[in-house]
Amino acid sequence: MDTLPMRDLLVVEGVTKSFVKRRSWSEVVRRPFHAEHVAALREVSVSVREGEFFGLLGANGAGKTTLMKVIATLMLPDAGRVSVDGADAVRDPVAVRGSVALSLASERGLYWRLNARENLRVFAVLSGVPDGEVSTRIEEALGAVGLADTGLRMVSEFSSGMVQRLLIARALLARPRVLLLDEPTRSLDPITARDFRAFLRRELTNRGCAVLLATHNADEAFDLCDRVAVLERGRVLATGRAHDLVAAIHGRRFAVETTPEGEGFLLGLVGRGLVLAVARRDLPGAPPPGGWTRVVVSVAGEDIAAAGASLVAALVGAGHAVASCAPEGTSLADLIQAVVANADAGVRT
Amino acid sequence: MRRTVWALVRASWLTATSYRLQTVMTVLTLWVTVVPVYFLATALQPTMAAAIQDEGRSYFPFMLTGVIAISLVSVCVTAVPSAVQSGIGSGFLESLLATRAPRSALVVGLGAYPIAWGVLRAVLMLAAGVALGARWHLAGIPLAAAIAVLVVVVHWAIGLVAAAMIVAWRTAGPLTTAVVVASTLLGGAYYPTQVIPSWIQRLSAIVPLQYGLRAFRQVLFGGANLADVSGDVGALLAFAVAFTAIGYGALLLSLQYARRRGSLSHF
Repeated sequence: MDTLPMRDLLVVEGVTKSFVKRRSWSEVVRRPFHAEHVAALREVSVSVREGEFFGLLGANGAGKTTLMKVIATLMLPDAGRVSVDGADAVRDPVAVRGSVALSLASERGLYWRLNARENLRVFAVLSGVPDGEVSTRIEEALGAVGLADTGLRMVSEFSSGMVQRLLIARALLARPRVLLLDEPTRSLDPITARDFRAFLRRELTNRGCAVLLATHNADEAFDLCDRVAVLERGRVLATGRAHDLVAAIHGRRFAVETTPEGEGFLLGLVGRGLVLAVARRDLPGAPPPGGWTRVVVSVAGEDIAAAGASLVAALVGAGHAVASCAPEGTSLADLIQAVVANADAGVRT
Repeated sequence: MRRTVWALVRASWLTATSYRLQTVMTVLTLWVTVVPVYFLATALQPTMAAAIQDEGRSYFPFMLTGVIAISLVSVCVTAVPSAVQSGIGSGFLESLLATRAPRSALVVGLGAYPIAWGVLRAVLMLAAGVALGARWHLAGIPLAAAIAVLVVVVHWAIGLVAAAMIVAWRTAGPLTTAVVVASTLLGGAYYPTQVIPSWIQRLSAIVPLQYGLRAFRQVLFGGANLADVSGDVGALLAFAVAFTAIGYGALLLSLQYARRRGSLSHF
């Protein structure tokens, strides 16, 4: 975090947005001028710095896409303020559109009967790419998403993953200052998705681009995003590094394979500095071969690597064998559920 | 503005011509339309000659221009609403609006290709008419072309109002159909407006096509000059200015309304 420049490129402050609720015919006849609203965003505040990847996590309908559309000036907020590179999204939407590119997961906004290059040519012009740079930018964007060799194939012949990549290439064309990506790797195979994440990190960080991405993917949330926000029914419940949120909820945890004696040793350390809690892992079926036992150990300390090293050193120093010791992963679903449960219980994560 | 419009026109052209057989058939259809008009007009010539004295006396070019005009009106009035309707359904409109391209360029660009294609078809049909014996005053072509441009602008602008209604309410109601029907029945497409009963004639005063068609025919087939048709051209110009202002304003307002409601991509 220390290496990140401190200038906020995207600032969202107290944004609220509600939609008119659809009513039945009888309801419309009885009260024709009545309108009911459903809140999509409730006082949402986030900021994204230059070169930062910021993830939006949450169940479907949490408000992630709505927030992106408000930032992209496709929707007007009911209240609050959105600023992109200093320009206000309500007062100066043209300037904001010049700095923002949006790629939505379910979007079909392409010319299906044209090939990838022809599609990008149209959007390059619409995005204000200078004439002399159009071809270079197109090749650059296609190369970045692995579509350089699609030739004359029409987009209607593309797989869903290729369409997704083309949409992202379209977003990259104008070299935006703020990139809004809605589930960018949803339709990509695991290898392409991994390469694409590496590309995003390498290219966009170098350019100082701020990236806001909505994701249901743990790799993106934990490894790509510098920070995340958990949204639930339009409200931001928690913001921070994904690993820190997990730590705040579950503590810093290690899965340790050791001997039964080693487990007893760890239990004896609980509450005495390093070890906060030890839990026997729920093992369905037979115990692991070789007499090893698996435990999940919650440890104290900010530096997770140092805490892991101390844990292993303590076990080995006391003469207990350690077969493995690794940070205990948490699924995105567990993280979101835990944050929501905390919020429901009135606990701030 | 010019780059944006050209990019959209080019993409639409490439899309349309990717349906290769359809493109060929469209050109062939023009001939299938013109030939029956020729025979029908020839049969009706004795009956209609007296009524169209100011417009060249020959009923074939009169009727052919009527057929072309109705086709062009239909294309112009539906070009932008159709693009907007399908763009809302596919999310394409949002993609366009999220770019920095000026709204005015998008509005022109969305309707430009079908209108350009409609104008080209009109020219080809007029050429086919010449091949079948229609006679023009060649000196009147520039003025006739200018009148045709005004007709296109007026009906494109009415289409903007329809597009605004689609953006706001997902329907243009009967607007586009009403314009085409009124133009057909009261615009002087197949018979001069003087032959219809006087009380209906008063209604035809609000149909822009009647001014355009009358002036166009008088110039191209009757040899009239600008001074002769200045009244009709002036009325057409007034319609063009008024409808363009109303249509563009309505479309901008409707886009603002849809942004407020969050309904740009709801269909």
